[in-house]
Amino acid sequence: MSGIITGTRNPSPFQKSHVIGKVPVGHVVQTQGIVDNASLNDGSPNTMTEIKTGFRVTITPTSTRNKLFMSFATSTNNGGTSGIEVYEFYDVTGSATVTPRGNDEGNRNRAHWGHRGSHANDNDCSEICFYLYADVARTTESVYTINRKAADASADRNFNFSNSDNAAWGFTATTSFFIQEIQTY
Amino acid sequence: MSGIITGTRHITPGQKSHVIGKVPCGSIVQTQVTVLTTVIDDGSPNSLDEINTGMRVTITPTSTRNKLWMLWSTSTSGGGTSAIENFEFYDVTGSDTVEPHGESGGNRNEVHWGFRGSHHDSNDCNEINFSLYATIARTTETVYTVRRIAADGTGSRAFNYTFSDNAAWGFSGTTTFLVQEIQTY
Repeated sequence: MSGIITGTRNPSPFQKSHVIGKVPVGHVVQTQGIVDNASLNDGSPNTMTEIKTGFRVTITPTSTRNKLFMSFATSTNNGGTSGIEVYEFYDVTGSATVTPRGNDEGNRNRAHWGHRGSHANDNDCSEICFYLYADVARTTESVYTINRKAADASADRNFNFSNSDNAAWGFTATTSFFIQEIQTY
Repeated sequence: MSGIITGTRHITPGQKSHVIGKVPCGSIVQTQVTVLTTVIDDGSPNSLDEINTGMRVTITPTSTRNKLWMLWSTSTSGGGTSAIENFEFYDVTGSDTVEPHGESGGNRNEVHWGFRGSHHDSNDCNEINFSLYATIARTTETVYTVRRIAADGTGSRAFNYTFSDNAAWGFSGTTTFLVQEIQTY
């Protein structure tokens, strides 16, 4: 798909695109995404580690002048009673945290968000969502994923399912990660 | 930029918009965004106050018949162990809470959402996300922001960073505030 769309002045009824030329400013150039429902216990990694390759999204942006709107929404369970975590959007192709990211602030991880869910007990469920209007690093095929770090070694986190198998509040569910390229010029 | 876009059949490389006629109903007319990485200790204001002017988004809508999809996504830490807060999308230009907002309900703040995060200890990290399909107040340049009130005087909240400077779970992060005008007719 291209930000420059070749259209026609006399479109046929089933022609998909009727924009002639470049997509207008502010419009979506393309959307790439995944929905994953495979259960995963991600444990409690003490370094920034990819949660799973099943969360990866591949996109080939059309211009480095555009932006990528990244949306991550996951269903999780557990995290112990003292779990505290850091997450980042990660550029697998470029082996770097997606920019913009947090400022250089001492020893802190320069990431995108931190999370500490409910701490009633180890059955806690948390939906974790985050959004970023990101820079385009390159116009060749790029793979993006989500990295996670857990400071508390007891803070195993289950993605897409509850640790407990019960009909009262147990669940299996989904994770969506989509990326939209937004035309900016 | 206009929802009614006058295009041309003979585009030049630098031409911004090439849709001929009105943007289709349901399409994005324009996208305006702020990504802020500045660290902010917002304290615990006991009235609805703007969190930071760096979070402001400016947009000039094309029609009051359209809508604004507002999305706010922030990385935070702190909040004490008993903090309870309200947030609202705020129209700086019109000095008013964005419409629609909560209905009149006694003494309650007529806002957009309330929040109480994890209450394990003062290190708690929370990502806070909210979205609103908002009414357009005017078609002249308009500035929007997010305001916050904290009921608990100990509930200081750090935006885009953790109060604690450590490599285990400390982070610096991002806040994205996106406003998209959506064509509705």
